Amino acid sequence: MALEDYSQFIYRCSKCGACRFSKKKGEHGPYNSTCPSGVRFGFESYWPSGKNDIARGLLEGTLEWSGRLIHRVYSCTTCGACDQICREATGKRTFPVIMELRRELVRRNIGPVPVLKQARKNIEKFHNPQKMEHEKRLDWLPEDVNSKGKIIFYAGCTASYMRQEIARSVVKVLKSADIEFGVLEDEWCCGYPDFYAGYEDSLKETARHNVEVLEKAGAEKVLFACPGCYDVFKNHYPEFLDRELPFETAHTTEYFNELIKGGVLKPAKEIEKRVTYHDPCKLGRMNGVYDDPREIMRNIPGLDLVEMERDREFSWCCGGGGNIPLIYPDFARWTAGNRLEEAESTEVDMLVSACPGCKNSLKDAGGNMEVVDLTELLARSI
Amino acid sequence: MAEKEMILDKIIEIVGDEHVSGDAEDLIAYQKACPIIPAVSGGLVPDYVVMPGCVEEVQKLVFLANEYMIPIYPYGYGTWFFAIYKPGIVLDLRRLNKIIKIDEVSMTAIIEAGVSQGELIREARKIGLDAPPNLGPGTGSLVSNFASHGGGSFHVGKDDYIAVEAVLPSGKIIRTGSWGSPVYADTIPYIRYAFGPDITGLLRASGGGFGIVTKAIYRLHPLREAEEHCEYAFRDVLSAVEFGIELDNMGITHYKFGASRKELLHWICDPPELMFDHAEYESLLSQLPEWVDIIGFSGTRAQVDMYKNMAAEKAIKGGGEKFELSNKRMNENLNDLAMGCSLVVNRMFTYPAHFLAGMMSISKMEGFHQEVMDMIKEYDVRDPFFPDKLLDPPQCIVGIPFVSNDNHFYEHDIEFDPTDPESLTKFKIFYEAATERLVPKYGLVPIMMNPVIINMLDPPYADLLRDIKMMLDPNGIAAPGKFL
Repeated sequence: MALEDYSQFIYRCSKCGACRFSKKKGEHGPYNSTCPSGVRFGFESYWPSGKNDIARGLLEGTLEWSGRLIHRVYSCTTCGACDQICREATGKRTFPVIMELRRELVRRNIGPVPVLKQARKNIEKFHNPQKMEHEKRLDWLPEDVNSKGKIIFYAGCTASYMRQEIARSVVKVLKSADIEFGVLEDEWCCGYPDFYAGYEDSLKETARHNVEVLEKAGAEKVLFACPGCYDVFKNHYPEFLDRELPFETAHTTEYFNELIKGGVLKPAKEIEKRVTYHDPCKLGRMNGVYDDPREIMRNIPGLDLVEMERDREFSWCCGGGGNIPLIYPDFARWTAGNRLEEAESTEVDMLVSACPGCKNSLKDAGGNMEVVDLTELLARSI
Repeated sequence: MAEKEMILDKIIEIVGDEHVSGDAEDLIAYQKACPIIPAVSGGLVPDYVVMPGCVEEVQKLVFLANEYMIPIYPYGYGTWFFAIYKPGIVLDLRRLNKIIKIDEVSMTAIIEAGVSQGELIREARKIGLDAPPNLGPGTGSLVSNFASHGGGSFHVGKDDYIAVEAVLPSGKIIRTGSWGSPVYADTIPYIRYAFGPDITGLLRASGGGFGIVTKAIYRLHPLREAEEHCEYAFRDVLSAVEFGIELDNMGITHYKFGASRKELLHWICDPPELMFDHAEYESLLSQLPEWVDIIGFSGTRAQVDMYKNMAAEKAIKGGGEKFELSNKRMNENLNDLAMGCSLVVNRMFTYPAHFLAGMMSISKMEGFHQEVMDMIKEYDVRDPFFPDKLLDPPQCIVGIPFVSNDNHFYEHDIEFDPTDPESLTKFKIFYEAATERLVPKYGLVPIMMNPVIINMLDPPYADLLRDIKMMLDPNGIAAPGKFL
């Protein structure tokens, strides 16, 4: 694709502002801000509609492709809120334009920012963006877990190296339900950082390897604790590989809810907590998984779920998307802080999410609120 | 170039470097809001975009603009017909985003220029108040809506802006109405017609030409016990509008507006992409009546029930039928639209161009319609989505009366393809010819002033506007070209 292929979105953008606010259908308001980049940096060029102006200028030659575009284009958290609302309100899209701007910047050797170039090198060499030793990727894993199976848990980089408690919780829950599963011996980064940096070529190699090892492991269903990995596998690998995935994919919340509904998994221990739930962007908006996490929480005895004002498709990003913590860590913390404030306003004991990246971002922002992954909570209840 | 940089330095001294940009990548986004509307002329790239954080900073920027004779254009959320006509400073007012006070007793809110309608609703509802229904997008700035005579301002039956604060082109800061005197400002700031002429009204629709409006006192109302809407289908526009007049005379509606079936469909179509599918579009269109009146009621439960019955009786007497949709998602969109502060109303800006919008006498509408249809054939303006067929007008909205008389808000849209230069040129030629031919003949009073309309005014009236402008803005720095 090229930028001109998105002309219908670029030229039909009327700056109606739907992309800037969330509003639930059928309600007389209220409107809430949705775009972290726009709210934080202010100028039109940081809002989705402004990106269309930039794209228009680039297409018409009134604006040059230059390094000055970088901050405007890469400060998007890729949360997709604008896209969700624009599509619903007007039938158009915003996100493909932003992604195409990134890809074109890479094609022209202007982008991405140096830290993402380094992340790519790290992925090539260490198979994770954090430059951790590949050999230590499975350090979190209990010894009695197979490397093969019809069900494979793909842990992802963040849960493998930084949020191992989430990976361990997944294993605990699976074991408690007597599910036979495996964890890959040679799992590589899914390619998320490269994808959102705008690289196209490197993802092909990553996808090829990961799918190949999963096939060899006999995977019929692959589970993901990380919505970012899940999204890249489910929605982008087929395009890069030019074929359908030879296995099913599911986020752990989808699978665990299925187990609970089937009576295979029974959360029994009471957790007397008032909690609120943060919808991860890549799980909710990108893959439509809103109900499963909530249903799991409703099945945990004692748990009292209170929704934030911006929930489900209107959820405010945690700041962890689109490589923002790597590129603009202060902005990532500001975005997460905004979400923490909203969570605190619900007067809960705990903020629950279903994404290792979200947990990272929300914890990095400081504050006193306990932040946990839903899988941890579920593991505690078993 | 050196002067440009020197001025940039001076702006940085006022607002800090984080809040000003002279980069092409930022400036291009202020070239034109609503870029798909070719009826808006202008559209130059500004030299600077500045986001002031308080009225004092706005004042200093206006002083600077006078010192260096630089045009200065206020900008709210960009949801209306913003364009600049001479390069200069764009004042993006969104950092002025505070709801300063909501007064429960007087039921008013003091809001800054960067507060959107939707945000005010959110806060007002927390204390049992609500903002008046408004067909303009909730994503727009209420203050800018006032200053530019934007979408919401002509859809409501009363003027909800009581007083404003503005930085005059001289740099003086004024407050209007009873807010304009320290004696009353803390006790009773919400009397619009307080001391002599209506200065609030002078600033309305001035597009920044008479001053930069930085705050407003906006009227709220209590959250009602019941708020409901219903829809009636009519065979033609006249029956639909006559029904509206009857309702007005009874004084029972919270709001009301009518839409042609094409207008209605592009608001409620779901998924909206269906609008690009010729067969689906035609099929859906054929299921809709020619005209639909959308009416909102509010009050106590008993009042709303009574009002609904009264409306039903009038509608049926006037040839109307209750209109109901079976499609769940389209019904949700209709509900969204009817509840006001709608998101789907944003589609209004998305597909069609605004052709002619303004106040019009109901008696002139039929003739106007007919002539527009003739001109469409004459100028071969084609529907861009389905190029094999001529556009089938009228596609228009008839809003509720601005005041309770024969004048109705009227809007007629013509679609065109913004990505196709030929379609765009054809539309512009058609638009100019239609304006010249039809506005004098049918007396459509446009919702925004522009230089073309100024030339149609009685000379003494136009002179008075120019004299006021000259008195307030001798250096011509305040939004030049917007209408003067």
